[in-house]
Amino acid sequence: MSTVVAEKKPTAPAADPEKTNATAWNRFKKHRLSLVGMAVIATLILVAIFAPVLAPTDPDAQELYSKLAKPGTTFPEKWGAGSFLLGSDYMGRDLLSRVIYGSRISLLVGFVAQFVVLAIGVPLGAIAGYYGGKVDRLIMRVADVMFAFPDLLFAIAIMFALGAGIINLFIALGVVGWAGMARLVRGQVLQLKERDFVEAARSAGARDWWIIIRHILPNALGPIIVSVTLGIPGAIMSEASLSFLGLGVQPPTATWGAMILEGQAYIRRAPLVSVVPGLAVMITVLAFNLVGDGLRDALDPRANKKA
Amino acid sequence: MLIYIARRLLAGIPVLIGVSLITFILMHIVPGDPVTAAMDKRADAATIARLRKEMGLDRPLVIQYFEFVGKAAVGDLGESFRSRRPVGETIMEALPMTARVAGSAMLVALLIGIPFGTAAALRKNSFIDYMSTVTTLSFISAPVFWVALLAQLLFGLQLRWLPISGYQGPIYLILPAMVLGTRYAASIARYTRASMLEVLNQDYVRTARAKGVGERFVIWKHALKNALVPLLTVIGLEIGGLMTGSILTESVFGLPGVGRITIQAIQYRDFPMIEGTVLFTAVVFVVANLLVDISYSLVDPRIRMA
Repeated sequence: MSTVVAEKKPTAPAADPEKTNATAWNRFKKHRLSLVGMAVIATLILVAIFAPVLAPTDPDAQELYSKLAKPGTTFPEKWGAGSFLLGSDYMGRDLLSRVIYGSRISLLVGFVAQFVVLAIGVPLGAIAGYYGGKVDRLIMRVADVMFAFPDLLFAIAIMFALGAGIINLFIALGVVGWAGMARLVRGQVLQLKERDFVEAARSAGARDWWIIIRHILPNALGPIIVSVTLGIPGAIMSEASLSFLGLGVQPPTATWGAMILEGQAYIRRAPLVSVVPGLAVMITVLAFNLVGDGLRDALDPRANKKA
Repeated sequence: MLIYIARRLLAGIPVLIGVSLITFILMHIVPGDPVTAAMDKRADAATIARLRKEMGLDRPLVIQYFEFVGKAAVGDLGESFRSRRPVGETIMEALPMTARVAGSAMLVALLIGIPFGTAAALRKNSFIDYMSTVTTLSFISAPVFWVALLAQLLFGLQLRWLPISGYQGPIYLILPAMVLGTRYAASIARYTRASMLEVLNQDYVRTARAKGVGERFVIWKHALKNALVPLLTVIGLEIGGLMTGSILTESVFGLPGVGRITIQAIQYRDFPMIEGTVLFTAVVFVVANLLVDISYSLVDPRIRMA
C-alpha cells in the first residue's frame, strides 16, 4: 500500500520506500509472538468464513431433550451423525457450532467498528490539524467531551438509546472510538504539514484535499495502522461486554458475550458453556494485541524506546 | 501553580456542559419518549399525557435541557420511575460500595503490577520478562466478567473458600478486588516495565552506578521513584476503565454499587436513573482526570510550563 503512495513524493527527504518497508518487516519478524498472533488471526478469519463447513451442525438448532448435554453426547437422530464435542447449552444447541459461528460476529464487529472509526476520525482529525483555528477548536472540543465518558459506559448509553442490534453496535463503537483516531491524525498532520514536501506540493499549486490525501496521510499511515490494529480487540471486547449485559446483538444469534451470559446460570452443571466462549474472546483479543504490539515497534520507531 | 490549577478547572467546564448535553440527547432520542417507553402498553392515553405533563416532557427540549442541567448542578437528578426515590440519593447510597470495589482493586493492581513490572524490566528479554509479557497480555485480553465467573466457579463453588455474591462484610470484596485488580495489575506491570526501562537508560542512573552506589539503592532510590511518575497518568487513565470494570464486576458479584444500579436501571428502562448514573459516572471521570493532571504538575514542574 505505502509503496505506491511513496513513489508519488520524490520531494520527501530520506524516503527510500523499499528500504523502509523492508526494515519494518524485519523489525516485525523479530517479534515471534506477533507472528504467532498473525497466524491465530488468519486461522480465525478462515474459521469465520468457513463456519458452515466447519460447524458440526446448525448453531441455532435446538433440542430440549439434549439440553446441557455432556461433551461427547451423540446428536439427536434428526441432526444426523455426530456428537456434541463440547456439550450443549441450556436450549440443547451445539456449543462448538455456536462458538464457531460466534467468531463471525466478533470479527465483523471488530473490523467494521474500526472502519467506522477511520471513516469519522481520519477526515475530522485531518481537517482539524490542517486548517487549525476555529474548525480545529470545535472538533477538538467535541473530542474532549467524548473522552469524558468511560468507553464502555458511553457504549452502554448509546446502545440503550438506539436499541440493541448489530448496526447500532457499529454506530455505538464508532462514535465511542472516533475521537481517539481524530486526535492521533490531527497530531500527525500538524507535524507533517510543515515539512518540505508539503510546501513543495503547495507551491506547485496542489489543492488542499490533494495535499492531505496524497502527501500527508500516506506519511501518517504507520501510527494509524497501529491504532486500528489495537482498536479491533477493543471493539471485540466491547461487543462481548455489551452482549453480556444484553445490549449487543440479539438472540438467538450466537455471539461469544451472549453465550457467556447464557451459561452463567448453569455454571455449576455445565461450566463449558461459559468457559469456552470466554476463552475464544481471550485468544482473539490476545492475538490482535500481540500483532498490534509488534506493529507498533515496526512502524512507529519513535515508540521503540518503550519496548 | 494556582493559575495553572484555575486554568485546568476552567477548561473542565465546557467538557462538563458537553457531557450533560450528550447524556440529555441520548435519553431523548430513544424511540417514543421515556414515558411511553417505560409504561405498560395497556396504559391509556390520558394517563400517559398526565405523566408527560407531570415530568415536563411536553415542553420544548431546550427548556427541558436547561432545567435538567440547573437541577443537576445542585444535585437534583430527578426521581426514579421504579422506586420513586430521588436518583441522587440512590447513587450516593451505592457510591461507597463502588469506591470499595474500585479502591481495593486498585490496591491489588499496584501491589502486583509494580513488582512484576520492575522485575521484568530488570531482566529484560529473559524468561521472566517473556513470561510476564505473555501473562499480563493474557489478563488484559480476558473479558473481566468472564474471569469473574471463573473465579466464582473455582474459589466459590469448587473450593468453597469465598462467598461469591452479595455483600455482608469485607470478605465479600476479596474475589471482586482480585478479579478487577489483576486485570489492571497487568496494565500497570506493562507501564512500569516500559517506564523503568527508559529510566534505567538515563545518565543519572549510570552516574549513580559509576559512583559505586549499590544496585538495590540505585533501583529503589533513583530508578523506581522516577519511573513511577508517568504511572500517575496511567492510574488516571485507568480510573475510567476501573469504573466501567466495576459495572461488569458488580453485576457478576451482585454488589449493590453504582455500576449495578446503572445496569438495573437499563433493564427496567428507568430513564431518570439511567440519565443520573451516566451523568454522575462521567462527571466523576472528568474530575478524577483533572485531579490526576493537577497532581502530575505537582510532581513534575515541567508540565506546568507547557
